[in-house]
Amino acid sequence: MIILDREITNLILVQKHLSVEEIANHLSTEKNKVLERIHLISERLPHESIEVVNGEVKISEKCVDELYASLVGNLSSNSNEYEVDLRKNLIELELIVHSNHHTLQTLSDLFYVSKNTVFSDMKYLKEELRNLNFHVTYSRKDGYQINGSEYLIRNHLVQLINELLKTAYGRSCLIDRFNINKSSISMFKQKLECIEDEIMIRLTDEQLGNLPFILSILLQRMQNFPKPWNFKVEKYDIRNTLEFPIIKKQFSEFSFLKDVDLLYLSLHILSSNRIESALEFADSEEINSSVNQFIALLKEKLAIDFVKETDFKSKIMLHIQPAIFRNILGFRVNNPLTERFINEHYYVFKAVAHAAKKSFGTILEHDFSDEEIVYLSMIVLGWMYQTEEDNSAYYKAVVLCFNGTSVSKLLLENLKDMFPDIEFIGAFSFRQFEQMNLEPDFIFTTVPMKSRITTIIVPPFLEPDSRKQLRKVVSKLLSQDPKRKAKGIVYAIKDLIPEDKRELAELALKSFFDKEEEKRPIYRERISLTEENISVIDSSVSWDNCVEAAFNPIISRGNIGSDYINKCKSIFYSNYQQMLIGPKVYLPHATVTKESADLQITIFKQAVTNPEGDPFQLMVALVPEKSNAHVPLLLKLNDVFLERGRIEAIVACKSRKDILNLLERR
Amino acid sequence: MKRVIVACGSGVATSQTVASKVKRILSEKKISAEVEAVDIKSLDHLIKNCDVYVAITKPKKAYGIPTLNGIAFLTGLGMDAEVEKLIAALK
Repeated sequence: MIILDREITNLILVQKHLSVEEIANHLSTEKNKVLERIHLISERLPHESIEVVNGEVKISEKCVDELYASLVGNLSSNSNEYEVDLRKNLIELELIVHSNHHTLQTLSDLFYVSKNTVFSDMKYLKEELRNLNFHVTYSRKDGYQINGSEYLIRNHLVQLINELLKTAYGRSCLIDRFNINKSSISMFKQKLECIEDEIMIRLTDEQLGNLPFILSILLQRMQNFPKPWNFKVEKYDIRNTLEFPIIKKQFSEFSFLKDVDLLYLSLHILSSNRIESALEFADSEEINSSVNQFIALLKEKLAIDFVKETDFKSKIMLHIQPAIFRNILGFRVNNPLTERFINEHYYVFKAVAHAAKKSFGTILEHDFSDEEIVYLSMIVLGWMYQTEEDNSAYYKAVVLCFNGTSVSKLLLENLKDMFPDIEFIGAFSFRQFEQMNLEPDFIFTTVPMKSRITTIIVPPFLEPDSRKQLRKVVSKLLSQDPKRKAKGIVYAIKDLIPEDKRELAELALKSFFDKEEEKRPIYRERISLTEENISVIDSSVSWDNCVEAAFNPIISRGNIGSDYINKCKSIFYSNYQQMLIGPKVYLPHATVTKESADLQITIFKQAVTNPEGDPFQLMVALVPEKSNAHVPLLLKLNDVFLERGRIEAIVACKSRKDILNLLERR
Repeated sequence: MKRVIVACGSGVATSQTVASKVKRILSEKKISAEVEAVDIKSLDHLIKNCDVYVAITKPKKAYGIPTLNGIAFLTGLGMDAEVEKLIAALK
């Protein structure tokens, strides 16, 4: 992806309601160029497209998913292949979750493909499932059924959901197919937050985002397939833990759940990655000494010392506890970066795998999977990059990541290395960041987010190409923004400026660069007043009609339609007391959608009376512009209206020319 | 740096004008602060890190930071008192 496409995608994702012009201004390029690039970006998306309606960029939620996937590079280049996998996963889910006695015909109707296509999907599916010890049967009475151990079927179901949630728009598919809505998601989220509070843990944002889907779909399986079943976890008595009754209480409203189902749900919550925990693991001594051994082996194998080793150990402990749980229970973990990480950091991966086998071998049922080893390796590598802090940076930044653990840690250390001018405060989950009241200059984030702080979207794994592009994006941001430029310059000459004057110097430089910015074309297009922008109404106008009368000339100029007037009227008549631009000067307006900026100053020779009985003679009808080009004019008008006697003088003027002179004479 | 937030219904005209005016006043008085205009819907989300709130619409709840009457900046009525409050809050 070329850098301009990346920047456009980034802007569209972060601020979903932008116009092409705003994007062009922001990136200091031509409107046509932006349109051309948007068209090309759109063409590369497998299903969705970016719509441009009257210069406004519009994207659907599905399109957001696809754009994000294209940005972080996990969008399959072959959309057909992607579609087949997606459909196969959805068919599996459908058979596992709904007891609908499906035939080839019903599945073909459900997924809008031919019976032949479903037949071929089922063929692959049967083979795949056979390798996992499941068998697919078909009977006239029950249709297609997936049979096997209930425990394994549920584990497989969770795995499928996790896989779908990682794809470009699996989330939207799950919402469509499994009757999931905002309120059910928020209900499960609340339950999880209660559980977090009571058992004193904090799950990662990723887990908190995915678990509502998993729990909601698991509950559907439990309700639709109520046959009795049982399972036993050899090494762990979950019923007697402190956590089990707390989790059970949260699901008490689902009367169809049997004890075994509740036990199963608890396992999923307990084996989820967490970023904070106040509780010790049941076998903490055993884990503690295993982690010590793990670190000692790593130090020996990699011939390094870890900075802040105690913190490193806590980080490993936090990750290893649910990882051991997952291992004992046979849950698989998704790590989309596994292959890429092993290719790029093979020796670290090998060293971690070796140390993990030696240290945790006695606790585990079987060796950690490659995915788990990669997660551990990412924490290790992140720590290897970490150096003692120095204070040479003058911009502050944070790294935010859904998976508040290993991915963000490695990303943080990579970014620190790439941008020595930026002080990275840390890597956090979105929930942690919200509660911290930090004020960084930049947020590096792995998923789009809205913030008034400049956000830069980065892929979770930085490959050489993405590093190069990211460097360009950051250096452009640093050189374009007056505030950051000022900060950088003052820092560079800080020894020449007394400490108490540095902030002022920064402010003065910022104003200097602000003025430079104002010379750019966008500011030259400010609205200027002509006689045409002034109306004088001699006849009597009622309160109910004054807004329409004020906007009439703008309608004649074709700059607005009746929709805008109706919107203005409805806002103005309920909020007129706040819609002012001077003493007794009203400013009816609404937010813009597609209109061009315009303004009309109306003088009512016969005063209009508001519902409080107060008379007024001036009204400024405004059609604002998204880039705020109207603001300097409003500020100027406000200054005029606040001058003693000026409003009276305007009202007394005999011609529009005189009024204009009075408005301009300052 | 301290932050001032100005909010009105739409965030496009009134709050923008008041914000520009507040910026100008602060710059004349050589007080450094960031001033931002927002629409009322975004206020709860954005006010967290702010030190002063300039309200155009009547505040529906207390935010625990000094709150000024933004209309005074537009009509001039009681503006001096609001400017004094603003300076005191930013010192």
